[in-house]
Amino acid sequence: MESFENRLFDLLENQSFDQLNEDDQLFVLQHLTEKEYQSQHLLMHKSAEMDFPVVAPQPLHLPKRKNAGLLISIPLYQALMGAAAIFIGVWFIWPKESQTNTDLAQTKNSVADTIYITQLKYDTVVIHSEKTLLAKNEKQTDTVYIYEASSPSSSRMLQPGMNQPQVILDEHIIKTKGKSLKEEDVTNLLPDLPKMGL
Amino acid sequence: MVKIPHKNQTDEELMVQIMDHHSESAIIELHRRYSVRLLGYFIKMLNKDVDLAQDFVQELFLKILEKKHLFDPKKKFYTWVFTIASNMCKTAYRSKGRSVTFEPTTHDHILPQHGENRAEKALFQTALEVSVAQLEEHHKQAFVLRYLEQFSLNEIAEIAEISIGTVKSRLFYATKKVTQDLAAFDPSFESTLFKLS
Repeated sequence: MESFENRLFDLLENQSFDQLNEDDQLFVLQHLTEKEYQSQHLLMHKSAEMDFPVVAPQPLHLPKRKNAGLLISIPLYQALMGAAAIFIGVWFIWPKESQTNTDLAQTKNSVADTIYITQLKYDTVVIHSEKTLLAKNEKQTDTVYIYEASSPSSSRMLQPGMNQPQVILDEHIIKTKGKSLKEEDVTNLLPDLPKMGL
Repeated sequence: MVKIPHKNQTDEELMVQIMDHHSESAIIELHRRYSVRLLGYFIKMLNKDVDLAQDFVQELFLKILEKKHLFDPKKKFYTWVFTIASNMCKTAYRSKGRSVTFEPTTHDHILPQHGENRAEKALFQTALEVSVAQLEEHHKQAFVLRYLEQFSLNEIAEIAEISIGTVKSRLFYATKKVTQDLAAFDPSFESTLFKLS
């Protein structure tokens, strides 16, 4: 809702009291006299015709900027681009820690460690031994015939079992005889065996 | 790329150069365009104190450089700069109070043989200056911007950062007060002081 001041102002700026319609005149007279309305109306229009003396302004004095070449203001995006370029350049140039440590570790290890190289060489070695070595002997098997002595069986003697072979000593068997242990060459190889008197 | 002379650039284009490059030539061009009008505004608002008004003009353009980042290029420069000027006057009014020395304009150069109208016009102007100087700060601002600086109602609303309804209300009470003072000065001022032809 428009205030009465605003409505009065609109009337004052645009119309003299004589130019107002009846309703507007009645409204104005509720707040102002006709003389007051007319005075305000004239003041609003005549004030603009006032001639105020024109005074010349003094020249503008701007403060001197120190190191203006270094402190030139630049747009924010240019400052960000410059910072990003510096950051990327430092990142490429700066040596990486992992590579440096690896190089040092490798250098350190190569100086301290001793490397042993083992190679197998195959060769024939002839060993002359003073002692007689044990020769490999083959097992000889021989047939042994056992004759039973004819003598009365004693009660203390075991009765021969049934179906036992009867060993008969004859000339064939007596003639056939093997080598005695004493005649064997093997006994020469046996280390310090007591003679059995065989 | 053709460089446009500052004289052919708008106020807003010059402000953009100030904001981007702190262009001193651009601020000097704006000073050339607005210093006279701003000085006249300060003289009316500061009760004819010319020396103080000169200092205010210098300080205002330094404030433009200082607060350039607050300028919206989409808005008009002259309403923005008069907003700064009005705020400076408001601060001065609050710090000094209502006891402000008033020096009415001398009209010695107007001789009686130049006609009654000119003498009466000078007299009316003196009476007007006295009355306006005694107004409340917000009424004075509205009256000076409207009837002495010829700003529109919308521009005054933007400068003073108030609504148009508030502008009309302030102008109504300001003109009402001034007419009462003029009536006290000369009861027949309607017929004598308004012979301004």
